[in-house]
Amino acid sequence: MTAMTLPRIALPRIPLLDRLAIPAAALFLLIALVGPWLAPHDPYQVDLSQALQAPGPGHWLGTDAAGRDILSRLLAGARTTVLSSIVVVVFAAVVGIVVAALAAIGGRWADEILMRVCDIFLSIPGMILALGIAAALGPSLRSTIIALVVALWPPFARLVRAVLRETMASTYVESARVMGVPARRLMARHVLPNSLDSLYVQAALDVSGVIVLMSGLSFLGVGAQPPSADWGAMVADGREFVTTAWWVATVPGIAITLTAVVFGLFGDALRSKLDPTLGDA
Amino acid sequence: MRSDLLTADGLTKRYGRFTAIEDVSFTLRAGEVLGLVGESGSGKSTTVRCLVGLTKPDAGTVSYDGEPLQGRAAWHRFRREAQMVFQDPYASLNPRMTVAEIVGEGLRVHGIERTAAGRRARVTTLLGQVGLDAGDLDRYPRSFSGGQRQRIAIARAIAVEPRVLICDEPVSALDVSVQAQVVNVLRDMGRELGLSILFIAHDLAVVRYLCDRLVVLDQGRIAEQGTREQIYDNPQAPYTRSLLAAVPIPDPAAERERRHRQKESAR
Ligand SMILES: Nc1ncnc2c1ncn2[C@@H]1O[C@H](COP(=O)(O)OP(=O)(O)O)[C@@H](O)[C@H]1O
Ligand SMILES: [Mg+2]
Repeated sequence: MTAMTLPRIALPRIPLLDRLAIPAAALFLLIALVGPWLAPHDPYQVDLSQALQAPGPGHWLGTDAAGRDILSRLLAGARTTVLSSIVVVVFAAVVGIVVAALAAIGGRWADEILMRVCDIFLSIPGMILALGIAAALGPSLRSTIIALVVALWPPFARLVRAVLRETMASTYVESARVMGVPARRLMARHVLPNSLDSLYVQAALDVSGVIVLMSGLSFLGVGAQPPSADWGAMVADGREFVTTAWWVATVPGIAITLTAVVFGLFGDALRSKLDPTLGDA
Repeated sequence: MRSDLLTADGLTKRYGRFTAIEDVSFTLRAGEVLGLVGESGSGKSTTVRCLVGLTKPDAGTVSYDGEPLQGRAAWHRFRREAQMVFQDPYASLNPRMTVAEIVGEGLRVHGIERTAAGRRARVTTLLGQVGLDAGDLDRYPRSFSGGQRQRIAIARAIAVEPRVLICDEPVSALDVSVQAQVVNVLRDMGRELGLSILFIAHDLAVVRYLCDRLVVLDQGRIAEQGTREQIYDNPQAPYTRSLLAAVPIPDPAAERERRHRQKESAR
Protein backbone atom coordinates (compact mmCIF):
# COMPACT_ATOMS: atom_id res chain seq x y z
CA MET A 1 0.00 0.00 0.00
CA THR A 2 2.71 2.49 0.88
CA ALA A 3 4.35 1.61 -2.41
CA MET A 4 2.89 4.79 -3.83
CA THR A 5 4.27 6.99 -1.06
CA LEU A 6 7.37 5.32 0.23
CA PRO A 7 10.51 4.19 -1.46
CA ARG A 8 10.86 0.51 -0.85
CA ILE A 9 14.15 -1.27 -1.08
CA ALA A 10 13.46 -4.75 -2.39
CA LEU A 11 16.12 -7.37 -1.87
CA PRO A 12 16.15 -11.07 -2.63
CA ARG A 13 15.19 -13.20 0.36
CA ILE A 14 18.24 -14.88 1.78
CA PRO A 15 17.71 -16.92 4.97
CA LEU A 16 20.97 -15.72 6.50
CA LEU A 17 19.95 -12.08 5.96
CA ASP A 18 16.67 -12.85 7.70
CA ARG A 19 18.53 -14.07 10.75
CA LEU A 20 20.99 -11.19 10.73
CA ALA A 21 18.35 -8.52 10.15
CA ILE A 22 16.97 -8.44 13.69
CA PRO A 23 20.33 -8.10 15.50
CA ALA A 24 21.51 -5.67 12.81
CA ALA A 25 18.44 -3.45 13.30
CA ALA A 26 18.98 -3.62 17.06
CA LEU A 27 22.62 -2.57 16.57
CA PHE A 28 21.63 0.39 14.38
CA LEU A 29 19.07 1.42 16.95
CA LEU A 30 21.68 1.23 19.68
CA ILE A 31 24.07 3.36 17.62
CA ALA A 32 21.28 5.88 17.10
CA LEU A 33 20.73 6.03 20.86
CA VAL A 34 24.32 6.24 22.08
CA GLY A 35 26.00 7.46 18.85
CA PRO A 36 26.88 10.96 20.07
CA TRP A 37 28.87 9.50 22.97
CA LEU A 38 30.81 7.19 20.68
CA ALA A 39 32.03 10.03 18.50
CA PRO A 40 35.85 10.23 18.56
CA HIS A 41 35.79 13.98 17.85
CA ASP A 42 33.43 16.87 18.49
CA PRO A 43 31.07 16.67 15.49
CA TYR A 44 30.59 20.44 15.46
CA GLN A 45 34.24 21.50 15.89
CA VAL A 46 35.21 23.59 12.87
CA ASP A 47 38.92 23.33 12.07
CA LEU A 48 39.74 24.72 8.64
CA SER A 49 43.30 23.42 8.83
CA GLN A 50 41.80 19.92 8.75
CA ALA A 51 39.37 20.61 5.85
CA LEU A 52 38.64 17.82 3.36
CA GLN A 53 41.04 15.29 4.81
CA ALA A 54 40.76 11.91 3.09
CA PRO A 55 39.81 8.90 5.23
CA GLY A 56 42.83 7.68 7.18
CA PRO A 57 44.23 7.40 10.68
CA GLY A 58 42.99 10.28 12.85
CA HIS A 59 39.84 10.71 10.75
CA TRP A 60 38.67 7.23 9.80
CA LEU A 61 36.04 8.54 7.40
CA GLY A 62 37.72 11.81 6.51
CA THR A 63 36.64 15.38 7.20
CA ASP A 64 34.29 17.81 5.49
CA ALA A 65 34.91 21.29 4.09
CA ALA A 66 34.80 22.79 7.58
CA GLY A 67 37.30 20.24 8.84
CA ARG A 68 34.70 18.41 10.95
CA ASP A 69 35.22 14.67 11.53
CA ILE A 70 32.72 12.80 9.31
CA LEU A 71 32.58 9.66 11.47
CA SER A 72 31.66 11.80 14.48
CA ARG A 73 29.02 13.66 12.48
CA LEU A 74 27.65 10.36 11.20
CA LEU A 75 27.31 9.02 14.74
CA ALA A 76 25.73 12.24 15.96
CA GLY A 77 23.41 12.32 12.94
CA ALA A 78 22.26 8.74 13.47
CA ARG A 79 20.09 9.99 16.27
CA THR A 80 18.34 12.60 14.13
CA THR A 81 17.89 10.33 11.16
CA VAL A 82 16.97 6.99 12.72
CA LEU A 83 15.10 8.15 15.80
CA SER A 84 13.12 10.80 13.91
CA SER A 85 12.12 8.22 11.33
CA ILE A 86 10.88 5.92 14.06
CA VAL A 87 9.02 8.81 15.67
CA VAL A 88 7.39 9.59 12.31
CA VAL A 89 6.26 5.99 11.82
CA VAL A 90 5.00 5.64 15.39
CA PHE A 91 2.91 8.82 15.10
CA ALA A 92 1.62 7.95 11.62
CA ALA A 93 0.73 4.45 12.83
CA VAL A 94 -1.02 5.69 15.96
CA VAL A 95 -3.05 8.23 13.99
CA GLY A 96 -3.82 5.61 11.33
CA ILE A 97 -4.92 3.02 13.89
CA VAL A 98 -7.06 5.45 15.88
CA VAL A 99 -8.78 6.81 12.77
CA ALA A 100 -9.40 3.36 11.28
CA ALA A 101 -10.67 1.97 14.59
CA LEU A 102 -13.04 4.92 15.07
CA ALA A 103 -14.30 4.46 11.53
CA ALA A 104 -14.87 0.78 12.18
CA ILE A 105 -16.82 1.48 15.37
CA GLY A 106 -18.60 4.46 13.81
CA GLY A 107 -20.21 2.46 11.04
CA ARG A 108 -20.79 3.12 7.38
CA TRP A 109 -20.78 6.92 7.41
CA ALA A 110 -17.62 7.30 9.45
CA ASP A 111 -15.98 4.75 7.21
CA GLU A 112 -17.05 6.58 4.07
CA ILE A 113 -15.64 9.89 5.34
CA LEU A 114 -12.34 8.27 6.32
CA MET A 115 -11.91 6.72 2.91
CA ARG A 116 -12.62 10.00 1.11
CA VAL A 117 -10.11 11.89 3.25
CA CYS A 118 -7.53 9.17 2.58
CA ASP A 119 -8.21 9.37 -1.15
CA ILE A 120 -7.53 13.09 -1.12
CA PHE A 121 -4.21 12.64 0.65
CA LEU A 122 -3.25 9.65 -1.44
CA SER A 123 -3.85 11.53 -4.68
CA ILE A 124 -0.79 13.68 -3.88
CA PRO A 125 2.59 11.91 -3.97
CA GLY A 126 3.94 11.61 -0.41
CA MET A 127 7.24 13.30 -1.13
CA ILE A 128 5.60 16.33 -2.76
CA LEU A 129 3.06 16.62 0.05
CA ALA A 130 5.75 16.35 2.73
CA LEU A 131 7.95 18.83 0.88
CA GLY A 132 5.09 21.32 0.63
CA ILE A 133 4.12 21.02 4.28
CA ALA A 134 7.71 21.15 5.54
CA ALA A 135 8.42 24.23 3.42
CA ALA A 136 5.22 25.91 4.59
CA LEU A 137 6.02 25.24 8.26
CA GLY A 138 9.52 26.61 7.83
CA PRO A 139 12.52 24.33 7.36
CA SER A 140 13.40 22.43 10.55
CA LEU A 141 13.56 18.90 11.85
CA ARG A 142 10.22 19.36 13.56
CA SER A 143 8.54 20.49 10.34
CA THR A 144 9.90 17.45 8.53
CA ILE A 145 8.53 15.14 11.20
CA ILE A 146 5.11 16.79 11.14
CA ALA A 147 5.07 16.81 7.32
CA LEU A 148 5.94 13.14 7.10
CA VAL A 149 3.34 12.16 9.69
CA VAL A 150 0.69 14.08 7.75
CA ALA A 151 1.79 12.45 4.51
CA LEU A 152 2.01 8.96 5.97
CA TRP A 153 -1.02 8.42 8.16
CA PRO A 154 -3.55 8.03 5.32
CA PRO A 155 -1.92 5.02 3.67
CA PHE A 156 -1.42 3.53 7.11
CA ALA A 157 -5.08 4.11 8.02
CA ARG A 158 -6.04 2.45 4.76
CA LEU A 159 -3.97 -0.61 5.58
CA VAL A 160 -5.30 -0.74 9.14
CA ARG A 161 -8.83 -0.60 7.79
CA ALA A 162 -8.22 -3.58 5.52
CA VAL A 163 -6.62 -5.55 8.34
CA LEU A 164 -9.39 -4.67 10.82
CA ARG A 165 -12.06 -5.75 8.34
CA GLU A 166 -10.41 -9.09 7.91
CA THR A 167 -10.16 -9.61 11.65
CA MET A 168 -13.75 -8.48 12.18
CA ALA A 169 -14.97 -11.22 9.87
CA SER A 170 -13.29 -13.91 11.99
CA THR A 171 -15.42 -16.34 13.94
CA TYR A 172 -14.11 -15.32 17.37
CA VAL A 173 -15.14 -11.73 16.71
CA GLU A 174 -18.56 -12.91 15.53
CA SER A 175 -18.95 -15.04 18.62
CA ALA A 176 -18.08 -12.05 20.80
CA ARG A 177 -20.70 -10.00 18.95
CA VAL A 178 -23.33 -12.68 19.43
CA MET A 179 -22.51 -12.63 23.12
CA GLY A 180 -23.18 -8.90 23.26
CA VAL A 181 -19.66 -7.54 23.72
CA PRO A 182 -20.01 -3.78 23.17
CA ALA A 183 -18.33 -2.19 20.12
CA ARG A 184 -15.53 -0.46 22.02
CA ARG A 185 -14.51 -3.53 23.94
CA LEU A 186 -14.83 -5.62 20.80
CA MET A 187 -12.32 -3.34 19.11
CA ALA A 188 -9.95 -3.11 22.06
CA ARG A 189 -9.91 -6.75 23.18
CA HIS A 190 -10.68 -8.75 20.08
CA VAL A 191 -10.05 -6.90 16.85
CA LEU A 192 -7.00 -4.72 17.54
CA PRO A 193 -4.84 -7.26 19.40
CA ASN A 194 -5.33 -9.73 16.58
CA SER A 195 -4.59 -7.16 13.88
CA LEU A 196 -1.38 -5.72 15.27
CA ASP A 197 1.02 -8.30 13.86
CA SER A 198 0.51 -7.18 10.27
CA LEU A 199 0.75 -3.57 11.42
CA TYR A 200 4.11 -4.10 13.15
CA VAL A 201 5.49 -5.51 9.92
CA GLN A 202 4.25 -2.56 7.91
CA ALA A 203 5.61 -0.11 10.49
CA ALA A 204 9.05 -1.71 10.37
CA LEU A 205 9.05 -1.55 6.58
CA ASP A 206 7.89 2.06 6.72
CA VAL A 207 10.84 3.05 8.92
CA SER A 208 13.09 2.06 6.08
CA GLY A 209 11.18 4.22 3.60
CA VAL A 210 10.94 7.16 5.98
CA ILE A 211 14.72 7.20 6.50
CA VAL A 212 15.10 7.73 2.77
CA LEU A 213 12.31 10.36 2.61
CA MET A 214 13.62 12.16 5.63
CA SER A 215 17.15 12.33 4.23
CA GLY A 216 15.67 13.45 0.93
CA LEU A 217 13.91 16.35 2.61
CA SER A 218 17.10 17.37 4.45
CA PHE A 219 19.04 17.06 1.25
CA LEU A 220 16.59 19.51 -0.32
CA GLY A 221 17.13 21.86 2.59
CA VAL A 222 13.76 21.69 4.36
CA GLY A 223 14.95 19.32 7.12
CA ALA A 224 17.31 19.74 10.04
CA GLN A 225 19.27 22.95 9.65
CA PRO A 226 23.03 23.53 9.81
CA PRO A 227 25.12 23.02 11.73
CA SER A 228 23.22 19.99 13.04
CA ALA A 229 24.62 16.73 11.79
CA ASP A 230 21.93 15.28 9.57
CA TRP A 231 22.74 12.62 7.00
CA GLY A 232 20.68 14.15 4.20
CA ALA A 233 22.19 17.58 4.84
CA MET A 234 25.68 16.03 4.94
CA VAL A 235 25.14 14.55 1.48
CA ALA A 236 24.00 17.97 0.28
CA ASP A 237 27.14 19.60 1.80
CA GLY A 238 29.35 17.18 -0.07
CA ARG A 239 27.76 17.72 -3.48
CA GLU A 240 30.28 20.31 -4.64
CA PHE A 241 33.26 18.11 -3.75
CA VAL A 242 32.07 14.87 -5.28
CA THR A 243 34.93 14.90 -7.77
CA THR A 244 37.62 16.22 -5.43
CA ALA A 245 36.64 14.78 -2.02
CA TRP A 246 34.26 11.91 -2.75
CA TRP A 247 33.90 10.80 0.88
CA VAL A 248 32.08 13.91 2.07
CA ALA A 249 28.88 13.00 0.18
CA THR A 250 29.45 9.28 -0.27
CA VAL A 251 29.92 8.27 3.37
CA PRO A 252 26.58 9.66 4.62
CA GLY A 253 24.97 8.37 1.40
CA ILE A 254 26.14 4.87 2.21
CA ALA A 255 24.93 5.28 5.81
CA ILE A 256 21.44 6.21 4.58
CA THR A 257 21.28 3.29 2.18
CA LEU A 258 22.64 0.80 4.68
CA THR A 259 20.23 1.88 7.41
CA ALA A 260 17.26 1.76 5.03
CA VAL A 261 18.29 -1.71 3.88
CA VAL A 262 18.72 -2.97 7.43
CA PHE A 263 15.28 -1.77 8.51
CA GLY A 264 13.75 -3.12 5.29
CA LEU A 265 15.25 -6.52 6.00
CA PHE A 266 14.09 -6.24 9.59
CA GLY A 267 10.50 -5.73 8.38
CA ASP A 268 10.78 -8.75 6.10
CA ALA A 269 12.28 -10.87 8.87
CA LEU A 270 9.50 -9.78 11.21
CA ARG A 271 6.93 -10.78 8.63
CA SER A 272 8.33 -14.26 8.19
CA LYS A 273 8.54 -14.62 11.95
CA LEU A 274 4.96 -13.50 12.59
CA ASP A 275 3.15 -14.94 9.58
CA PRO A 276 3.00 -18.58 10.71
CA THR A 277 1.38 -17.49 13.97
CA LEU A 278 -1.25 -15.33 12.32
CA GLY A 279 -3.55 -18.33 11.93
CA ASP A 280 -2.64 -19.46 15.43
CA ALA A 281 -3.80 -23.06 15.07
CA MET B 1 -48.18 -26.90 25.51
CA ARG B 2 -44.71 -25.39 25.72
CA SER B 3 -44.49 -21.73 24.90
CA ASP B 4 -42.74 -20.41 21.81
CA LEU B 5 -39.32 -19.01 22.61
CA LEU B 6 -37.54 -18.30 19.34
CA THR B 7 -39.39 -18.08 16.06
CA ALA B 8 -38.14 -17.72 12.50
CA ASP B 9 -40.85 -16.46 10.21
CA GLY B 10 -40.33 -16.53 6.46
CA LEU B 11 -36.55 -16.03 6.54
CA THR B 12 -35.07 -15.51 3.09
CA LYS B 13 -31.47 -14.70 2.26
CA ARG B 14 -29.94 -14.21 -1.19
CA TYR B 15 -26.30 -13.82 -2.13
CA GLY B 16 -26.47 -12.06 -5.46
CA ARG B 17 -28.72 -14.19 -7.61
CA PHE B 18 -28.20 -17.25 -5.45
CA THR B 19 -30.89 -17.93 -2.88
CA ALA B 20 -29.27 -19.45 0.20
CA ILE B 21 -32.52 -19.85 2.16
CA GLU B 22 -36.10 -19.18 1.22
CA ASP B 23 -39.17 -18.82 3.39
CA VAL B 24 -37.73 -20.67 6.37
CA SER B 25 -40.13 -20.73 9.31
CA PHE B 26 -39.93 -22.73 12.51
CA THR B 27 -40.21 -22.32 16.24
CA LEU B 28 -38.00 -23.34 19.13
CA ARG B 29 -40.22 -23.96 22.12
CA ALA B 30 -39.25 -23.47 25.75
CA GLY B 31 -37.37 -26.45 27.16
CA GLU B 32 -37.10 -28.49 23.97
CA VAL B 33 -34.20 -29.56 21.81
CA LEU B 34 -34.94 -28.74 18.19
CA GLY B 35 -32.77 -30.21 15.45
CA LEU B 36 -32.10 -28.31 12.21
CA VAL B 37 -30.81 -30.86 9.75
CA GLY B 38 -29.70 -30.76 6.13
CA GLU B 39 -26.75 -31.53 3.92
CA SER B 40 -23.75 -29.27 3.76
CA GLY B 41 -24.72 -26.15 1.81
CA SER B 42 -28.44 -26.51 2.54
CA GLY B 43 -28.51 -23.16 4.33
CA LYS B 44 -28.30 -24.15 8.01
CA SER B 45 -25.61 -21.67 8.96
CA THR B 46 -27.27 -18.92 6.96
CA THR B 47 -30.49 -19.57 8.90
CA VAL B 48 -28.61 -19.40 12.20
CA ARG B 49 -26.79 -16.22 11.19
CA CYS B 50 -30.12 -14.58 10.38
CA LEU B 51 -31.52 -15.75 13.72
CA VAL B 52 -28.72 -14.23 15.78
CA GLY B 53 -28.31 -11.05 13.75
CA LEU B 54 -24.94 -11.78 12.15
CA THR B 55 -26.61 -11.51 8.75
CA LYS B 56 -29.54 -9.36 7.75
CA PRO B 57 -32.19 -11.45 6.01
CA ASP B 58 -33.70 -10.14 2.78
CA ALA B 59 -37.13 -11.06 4.05
CA GLY B 60 -38.67 -12.53 7.17
CA THR B 61 -38.55 -11.78 10.86
CA VAL B 62 -37.26 -13.30 14.05
CA SER B 63 -39.23 -13.18 17.30
CA TYR B 64 -37.92 -13.89 20.74
CA ASP B 65 -40.19 -14.69 23.67
CA GLY B 66 -43.24 -13.50 21.76
CA GLU B 67 -41.79 -10.13 20.70
CA PRO B 68 -40.24 -9.26 17.34
CA LEU B 69 -36.48 -8.91 17.71
CA GLN B 70 -36.31 -5.17 17.08
CA GLY B 71 -34.76 -2.24 18.86
CA ARG B 72 -31.95 -1.90 21.35
CA ALA B 73 -33.71 -3.26 24.41
CA ALA B 74 -34.91 -6.43 22.71
CA TRP B 75 -31.50 -7.15 21.24
CA HIS B 76 -29.75 -6.38 24.51
CA ARG B 77 -31.88 -8.95 26.29
CA PHE B 78 -31.45 -11.47 23.46
CA ARG B 79 -27.65 -11.06 23.54
CA ARG B 80 -27.65 -12.25 27.09
CA GLU B 81 -30.40 -14.88 26.94
CA ALA B 82 -29.42 -16.56 23.69
CA GLN B 83 -25.90 -17.94 23.33
CA MET B 84 -24.19 -19.79 20.55
CA VAL B 85 -21.64 -22.53 20.03
CA PHE B 86 -19.92 -22.39 16.64
CA GLN B 87 -18.86 -25.21 14.39
CA ASP B 88 -15.12 -24.68 14.35
CA PRO B 89 -13.58 -24.44 17.82
CA TYR B 90 -10.24 -23.62 16.20
CA ALA B 91 -11.73 -20.37 14.90
CA SER B 92 -14.25 -19.39 17.53
CA LEU B 93 -11.91 -18.67 20.45
CA ASN B 94 -9.85 -15.47 20.51
CA PRO B 95 -6.22 -16.69 20.32
CA ARG B 96 -5.04 -13.79 22.50
CA MET B 97 -7.31 -14.35 25.46
CA THR B 98 -6.87 -16.87 28.23
CA VAL B 99 -9.57 -19.38 29.06
CA ALA B 100 -10.47 -17.33 32.14
CA GLU B 101 -10.95 -14.23 29.98
CA ILE B 102 -12.86 -16.06 27.26
CA VAL B 103 -15.29 -17.78 29.59
CA GLY B 104 -15.53 -14.79 31.92
CA GLU B 105 -16.20 -12.20 29.24
CA GLY B 106 -19.96 -12.66 29.20
CA LEU B 107 -20.06 -12.41 33.00
CA ARG B 108 -18.21 -9.16 32.68
CA VAL B 109 -20.05 -7.46 29.83
CA HIS B 110 -23.45 -8.38 31.20
CA GLY B 111 -22.52 -7.21 34.67
CA ILE B 112 -23.13 -10.61 36.26
CA GLU B 113 -19.79 -10.74 38.08
CA ARG B 114 -18.18 -7.35 38.38
CA THR B 115 -14.98 -8.34 40.16
CA ALA B 116 -12.12 -10.31 38.64
CA ALA B 117 -12.04 -12.64 41.64
CA GLY B 118 -15.75 -13.31 41.36
CA ARG B 119 -15.42 -14.11 37.68
CA ARG B 120 -12.48 -16.41 38.31
CA ALA B 121 -14.43 -18.38 40.87
CA ARG B 122 -17.42 -18.69 38.53
CA VAL B 123 -15.25 -19.69 35.59
CA THR B 124 -13.57 -22.37 37.69
CA THR B 125 -16.97 -23.86 38.47
CA LEU B 126 -18.02 -23.66 34.82
CA LEU B 127 -14.87 -25.42 33.66
CA GLY B 128 -15.61 -28.19 36.12
CA GLN B 129 -19.11 -28.52 34.70
CA VAL B 130 -17.80 -29.08 31.18
CA GLY B 131 -15.04 -31.44 32.28
CA LEU B 132 -12.00 -29.16 32.32
CA ASP B 133 -10.05 -28.17 35.39
CA ALA B 134 -9.01 -25.02 37.18
CA GLY B 135 -5.41 -25.48 36.06
CA ASP B 136 -6.55 -24.52 32.55
CA LEU B 137 -7.68 -21.03 33.57
CA ASP B 138 -4.62 -19.13 32.45
CA ARG B 139 -3.82 -21.11 29.33
CA TYR B 140 -4.47 -19.93 25.80
CA PRO B 141 -6.72 -21.75 23.31
CA ARG B 142 -3.76 -22.97 21.26
CA SER B 143 -2.79 -25.43 23.98
CA PHE B 144 -6.08 -27.32 23.80
CA SER B 145 -7.41 -30.06 21.55
CA GLY B 146 -10.52 -29.57 19.43
CA GLY B 147 -12.75 -31.35 21.93
CA GLN B 148 -11.38 -29.30 24.82
CA ARG B 149 -11.82 -26.09 22.88
CA GLN B 150 -15.42 -26.93 22.19
CA ARG B 151 -15.89 -27.49 25.94
CA ILE B 152 -14.44 -24.03 26.53
CA ALA B 153 -16.90 -22.64 23.98
CA ILE B 154 -19.75 -24.41 25.79
CA ALA B 155 -18.61 -23.05 29.14
CA ARG B 156 -18.51 -19.56 27.63
CA ALA B 157 -22.02 -19.97 26.26
CA ILE B 158 -23.60 -21.21 29.49
CA ALA B 159 -21.67 -18.77 31.70
CA VAL B 160 -24.31 -16.06 31.38
CA GLU B 161 -27.14 -18.48 32.21
CA PRO B 162 -28.90 -18.24 28.85
CA ARG B 163 -32.33 -19.58 28.07
CA VAL B 164 -31.52 -20.49 24.50
CA LEU B 165 -28.46 -22.26 23.18
CA ILE B 166 -27.82 -22.38 19.44
CA CYS B 167 -25.27 -24.96 18.37
CA ASP B 168 -24.16 -24.83 14.73
CA GLU B 169 -22.75 -28.30 14.02
CA PRO B 170 -20.81 -28.23 17.29
CA VAL B 171 -19.16 -31.60 16.72
CA SER B 172 -18.65 -31.83 12.95
CA ALA B 173 -15.16 -30.37 13.17
CA LEU B 174 -14.15 -32.76 15.94
CA ASP B 175 -12.57 -36.21 15.95
CA VAL B 176 -15.21 -38.91 15.80
CA SER B 177 -13.85 -40.28 19.07
CA VAL B 178 -14.75 -37.13 21.02
CA GLN B 179 -17.98 -36.21 19.25
CA ALA B 180 -20.17 -38.25 21.57
CA GLN B 181 -18.54 -36.79 24.69
CA VAL B 182 -19.15 -33.24 23.53
CA VAL B 183 -22.76 -34.03 22.58
CA ASN B 184 -23.22 -35.52 26.04
CA VAL B 185 -21.83 -32.41 27.70
CA LEU B 186 -24.29 -30.33 25.73
CA ARG B 187 -27.21 -32.60 26.55
CA ASP B 188 -26.36 -32.74 30.27
CA MET B 189 -25.88 -28.99 30.51
CA GLY B 190 -29.10 -28.46 28.64
CA ARG B 191 -31.02 -30.62 31.10
CA GLU B 192 -29.33 -29.22 34.15
CA LEU B 193 -29.95 -25.61 33.17
CA GLY B 194 -33.33 -26.15 31.55
CA LEU B 195 -32.06 -24.77 28.24
CA SER B 196 -33.93 -24.66 24.98
CA ILE B 197 -31.50 -25.86 22.35
CA LEU B 198 -31.40 -25.39 18.61
CA PHE B 199 -29.02 -28.07 17.43
CA ILE B 200 -27.76 -27.97 13.85
CA ALA B 201 -26.38 -31.09 12.19
CA HIS B 202 -25.69 -32.28 8.66
CA ASP B 203 -26.91 -35.80 9.26
CA LEU B 204 -29.57 -37.46 11.29
CA ALA B 205 -27.26 -39.73 13.28
CA VAL B 206 -25.88 -37.17 15.72
CA VAL B 207 -29.24 -35.70 16.65
CA ARG B 208 -31.21 -38.91 16.96
CA TYR B 209 -31.20 -39.25 20.73
CA LEU B 210 -30.94 -35.55 21.42
CA CYS B 211 -33.80 -33.83 19.68
CA ASP B 212 -37.47 -33.67 20.56
CA ARG B 213 -38.39 -32.23 17.20
CA LEU B 214 -36.64 -31.79 13.87
CA VAL B 215 -36.66 -29.38 10.96
CA VAL B 216 -35.23 -30.76 7.72
CA LEU B 217 -33.69 -28.25 5.34
CA ASP B 218 -33.17 -29.06 1.65
CA GLN B 219 -31.46 -26.54 -0.65
CA GLY B 220 -32.57 -23.60 1.46
CA ARG B 221 -36.17 -24.68 1.90
CA ILE B 222 -37.85 -26.63 4.64
CA ALA B 223 -38.50 -30.14 3.37
CA GLU B 224 -40.29 -31.36 6.47
CA GLN B 225 -40.64 -30.76 10.18
CA GLY B 226 -42.07 -32.84 12.95
CA THR B 227 -41.42 -34.74 16.15
CA ARG B 228 -38.54 -37.16 16.40
CA GLU B 229 -40.92 -40.09 16.05
CA GLN B 230 -42.53 -38.65 12.94
CA ILE B 231 -39.22 -37.94 11.26
CA TYR B 232 -37.42 -41.16 12.12
CA ASP B 233 -40.27 -43.63 11.95
CA ASN B 234 -42.50 -42.12 9.33
CA PRO B 235 -40.63 -39.65 7.15
CA GLN B 236 -42.79 -37.93 4.55
CA ALA B 237 -40.36 -36.05 2.33
CA PRO B 238 -38.16 -38.10 -0.04
CA TYR B 239 -35.22 -35.93 1.03
CA THR B 240 -35.68 -36.94 4.67
CA ARG B 241 -35.76 -40.60 3.63
CA SER B 242 -32.50 -40.25 1.73
CA LEU B 243 -30.92 -38.57 4.76
CA LEU B 244 -32.16 -41.41 6.95
CA ALA B 245 -30.85 -44.03 4.56
CA ALA B 246 -27.39 -42.53 4.97
CA VAL B 247 -27.45 -43.00 8.74
CA PRO B 248 -25.48 -46.04 9.85
CA ILE B 249 -26.95 -47.86 12.80
CA PRO B 250 -24.24 -49.04 15.17
CA ASP B 251 -26.18 -52.14 16.25
CA PRO B 252 -25.93 -54.84 13.51
CA ALA B 253 -29.20 -56.48 14.52
CA ALA B 254 -31.07 -53.21 14.30
CA GLU B 255 -29.37 -52.49 10.99
CA ARG B 256 -30.52 -55.87 9.59
CA GLU B 257 -34.00 -55.16 10.89
CA ARG B 258 -34.04 -51.80 9.16
CA ARG B 259 -32.86 -53.19 5.82
CA HIS B 260 -35.57 -55.78 6.11
CA ARG B 261 -38.21 -53.15 6.82
CA GLN B 262 -37.01 -51.02 3.92
CA LYS B 263 -37.35 -54.00 1.57
CA GLU B 264 -40.81 -54.70 2.94
CA SER B 265 -42.00 -51.16 2.44
CA ALA B 266 -40.48 -51.07 -1.04
CA ARG B 267 -42.59 -54.01 -2.06
N1 LIG C 1 -21.40 -14.90 2.48
C1 LIG C 1 -21.81 -15.70 1.48
N2 LIG C 1 -21.68 -15.32 0.19
C2 LIG C 1 -22.10 -16.10 -0.82
N3 LIG C 1 -22.65 -17.31 -0.66
C3 LIG C 1 -22.79 -17.77 0.59
C4 LIG C 1 -22.38 -16.99 1.72
N4 LIG C 1 -22.65 -17.71 2.84
C5 LIG C 1 -23.20 -18.86 2.42
N5 LIG C 1 -23.29 -18.91 1.08
C6 LIG C 1 -23.84 -20.00 0.28
O1 LIG C 1 -25.11 -20.31 0.79
C7 LIG C 1 -25.31 -21.71 0.80
C8 LIG C 1 -25.69 -22.16 2.17
O2 LIG C 1 -24.57 -22.03 3.01
P1 LIG C 1 -24.63 -22.39 4.55
O3 LIG C 1 -25.77 -21.68 5.17
O4 LIG C 1 -23.28 -22.12 5.12
O5 LIG C 1 -24.90 -23.95 4.51
P2 LIG C 1 -24.73 -25.06 5.63
O6 LIG C 1 -24.43 -24.39 6.92
O7 LIG C 1 -26.02 -25.80 5.62
O8 LIG C 1 -23.61 -25.94 5.17
C9 LIG C 1 -24.02 -22.35 0.29
O9 LIG C 1 -24.20 -22.70 -1.06
C10 LIG C 1 -23.01 -21.26 0.44
O10 LIG C 1 -22.04 -21.35 -0.56
MG1 LIG D 1 -22.78 -24.58 8.23
